[in-house]
Amino acid sequence: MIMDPYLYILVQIIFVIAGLTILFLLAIVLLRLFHSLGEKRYRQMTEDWEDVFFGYLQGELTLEEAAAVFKKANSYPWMWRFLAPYIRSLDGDDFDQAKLLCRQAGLIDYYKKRLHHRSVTQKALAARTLGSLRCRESTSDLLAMLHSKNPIFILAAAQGLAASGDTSAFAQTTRTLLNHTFFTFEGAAEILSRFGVESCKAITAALEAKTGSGTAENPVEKSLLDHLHGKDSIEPYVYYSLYIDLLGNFRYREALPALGKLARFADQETMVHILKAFLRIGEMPPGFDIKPFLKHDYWVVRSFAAQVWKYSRDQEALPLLENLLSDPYWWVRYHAARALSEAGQNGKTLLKRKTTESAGAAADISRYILELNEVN
Amino acid sequence: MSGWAVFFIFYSVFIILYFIGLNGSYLLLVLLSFFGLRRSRITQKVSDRVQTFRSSFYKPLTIIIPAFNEETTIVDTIYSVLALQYPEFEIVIVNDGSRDNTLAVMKKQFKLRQSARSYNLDIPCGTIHNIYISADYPNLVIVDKDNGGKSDALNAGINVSQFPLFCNIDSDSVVDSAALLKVIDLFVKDRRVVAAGGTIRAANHCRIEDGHVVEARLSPRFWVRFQIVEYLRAFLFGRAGWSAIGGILILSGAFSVFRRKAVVDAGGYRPDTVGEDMELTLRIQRVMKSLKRDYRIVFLPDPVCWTQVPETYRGLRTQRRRWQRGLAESLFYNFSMFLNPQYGAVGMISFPFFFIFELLGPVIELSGYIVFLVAIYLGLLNPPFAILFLVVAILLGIMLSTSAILMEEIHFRKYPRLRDVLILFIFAILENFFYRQLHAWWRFQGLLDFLFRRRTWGTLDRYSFSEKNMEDAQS
Amino acid sequence: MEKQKLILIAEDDPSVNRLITFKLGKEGFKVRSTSDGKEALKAALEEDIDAAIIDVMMPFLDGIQVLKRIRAEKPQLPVIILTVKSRGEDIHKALELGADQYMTKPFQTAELVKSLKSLLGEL
Repeated sequence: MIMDPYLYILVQIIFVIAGLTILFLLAIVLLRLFHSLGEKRYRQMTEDWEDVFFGYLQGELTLEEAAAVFKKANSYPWMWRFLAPYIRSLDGDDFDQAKLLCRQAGLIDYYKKRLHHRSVTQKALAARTLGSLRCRESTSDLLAMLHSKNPIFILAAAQGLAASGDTSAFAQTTRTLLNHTFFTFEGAAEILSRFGVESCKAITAALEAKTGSGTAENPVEKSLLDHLHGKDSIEPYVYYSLYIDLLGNFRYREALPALGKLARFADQETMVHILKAFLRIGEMPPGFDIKPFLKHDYWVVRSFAAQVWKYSRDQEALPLLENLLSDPYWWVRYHAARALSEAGQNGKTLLKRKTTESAGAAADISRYILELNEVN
Repeated sequence: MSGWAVFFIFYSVFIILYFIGLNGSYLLLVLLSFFGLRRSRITQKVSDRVQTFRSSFYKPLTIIIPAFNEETTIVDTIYSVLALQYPEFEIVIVNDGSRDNTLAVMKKQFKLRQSARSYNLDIPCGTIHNIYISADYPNLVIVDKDNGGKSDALNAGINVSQFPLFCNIDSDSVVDSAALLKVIDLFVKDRRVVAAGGTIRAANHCRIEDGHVVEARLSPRFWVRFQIVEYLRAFLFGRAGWSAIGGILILSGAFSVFRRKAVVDAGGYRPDTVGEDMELTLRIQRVMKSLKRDYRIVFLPDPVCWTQVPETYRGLRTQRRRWQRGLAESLFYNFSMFLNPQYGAVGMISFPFFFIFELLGPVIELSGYIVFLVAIYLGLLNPPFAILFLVVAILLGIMLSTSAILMEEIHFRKYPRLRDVLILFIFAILENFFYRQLHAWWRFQGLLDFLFRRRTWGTLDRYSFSEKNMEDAQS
Repeated sequence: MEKQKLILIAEDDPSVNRLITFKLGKEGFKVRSTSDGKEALKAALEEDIDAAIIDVMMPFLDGIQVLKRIRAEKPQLPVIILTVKSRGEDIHKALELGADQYMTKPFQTAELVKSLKSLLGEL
């Protein structure tokens, strides 16, 4: 029977669709089965691995014995999946031992090769893994990946470099994150913070060089100083802000003198970050005069100045704090009131007086802070 | 040739073209979403979110929960949100003039006291009577206001909120602990992002403990199973596909995160629409474009918000009518985006798609059934062709749903039992035989509601999560 | 013979949890291992624990909350808080609430054992 061509087409389409549907269904079932079997096998394997790994850490097994067991499984992704939580949580001797095991078992070589894999996933995961393993020998490969146009690679490389703690890559990573990604401040700072406290030394040296109280000696410090001098397309205040935030994050007290000097001639954005850093560090440079900042034109500076006042307890600043209770910005009023509430009996009395003597913003905020203090 | 015959030929051609357009688009969306999901998965694998969360660099967040007559669920909701692991956030519950004991229940449970906290009226909203703070939970704020509807409540919440990002979670939803973090991460990694959303899944009959979905279970309820298949389609290939081309039109009201400034610039939620989430998403895009700001609206498939879906015919019908009306209102109020190249993929692709296939779809589908029956009666139909065409349509529907289930299996595997997944496949078949037609009818009614401005609000049946869990445990 | 000391571990990462359990076992301690805040609190209050090692980040109830409630009922119980280096606020809060010591992650198991022993007067 010769079929109408349209009907013939429809029948073909039906076969294709039905075939695809059955294929999808089969795929669902098979994927589930493979996954279950795979997980079962992984669990069995990791039970053995755990005994071996713990025994090795305890010194009951040699490196070669332990590595042999891991190598036998012939699955590096599973090996990494098992070892990753330990690598990320352990430090010192424990970490060194675990890393040695990874090297002996061939894991590090495996991922080094994967850095040049065709697949985006494999490359990116390799970058992340080598970073977690603090493999500084991969720094040059990761730096090359940092210059990629693919944001996944930039992220993986930046994370890998930061996790490795190799500060020689700090300046370049910063520049790439700021220039070639749409990362927010917090996003860039968060990744850069993984370089660790070592980066603070370089940052402080650069700040000291900028304020004339020191010199930038090594290439990293010099690069950072270039950033602060605006030698690329990013405005210096962005770099200042980022670096100062990192100093605050690590509570790097050694940077206080440089920060104090910088605050005197910094632009308002940088000033904000300096005051924030004082807040995080929990102190101000000795002899630092907070009063000009309590009178600053920019409300964010006033707000942070009120917050850090407690580290100076400068009684001469109390009238300025009192003025800030009527500041047009809520946050400034809030922090000024808080500072006063923590300024001992004088401050509390002043606030109580404000609730009765005046009306409007100053009275409202004083009432609010006093009420919050009661609640706490 | 009779007039009917001519009409029928033209109509058939139209239906075939419409069919090709609709299913061709869906197939394209499936492909796009496949690559989009893959890319999203790679980025998720590479991002070390745990560390991000444990650092001191994050964006603080306000979670706004509008509440109206929620006395049975509000305490559970608040506790589940309080249990969220996020470095810094505040919760703003907006009691929208509840007529039951919602406020009293909160006052007692959380030891509320009146607060002198002030706020700016960045967005016009109804009168706020009082703001309360909790003695036990310093980050919990309750706003008590006159009834003004969900949009108005949200606007009041935004006014009171203090953080640069806010998240709107419905009061009957449970958000995954890590879900919030994953969505916020988008804002941190890309400063252009103004809004982002995740996936919604049915919480009905899932095992929930202390505000966490501990085990995803397939509800035994008939109507819920259909909805689960629908939601998988809508999110796993619908939104994922649109997101891949930058054409997101809707973020779910149940769980979406916004940059406060962008929403304030856009004027807040619109009070006179039932599709306020959709309408806001569209308006933000219009405003961003007019301000010439580079922006992104992103959908992430991985973070999940579990929400109660209607379990009864009536509840589902009311909801779908309301959604269709919301869609109509949103498209109507933002019609300047239609085929407007200024709005990129949204204006040229997704807006027209939603207008033609989602909004007018029910009209075309229902008219198709009517014309089909008339054609049979008049003997105009070529039976083999019609039957085969119908078979193609049904099979395509099944295939698309199966592809969504497959994507769920590849990327998420939320249902631990294979049996549940296979049941979903059966419902993917069944839904083509009456559910889809019923759904088209409800959506048609919703469209009529919009055209004749009918105000049918309806109330969804409410079960407290903990009560439901007890029931489940005993059954 | 001296009774084996019972140490509570509250750590949600199962691998790290098992490692600490193993190491403490090798040092002659008995271990009660928990993986979330609720379970940890229950164990701390209801069982005869000699010391606790509590991770700050845990599901259901975080370590700070657990510490707060332990201190309310067992003020003498030695507690070591495990936290992440950059979360200075956590360290501050924990010490304010009466944690005896804190250890930042990543950490060395030998250091943890040493801290524990010194708290229990075994060093």
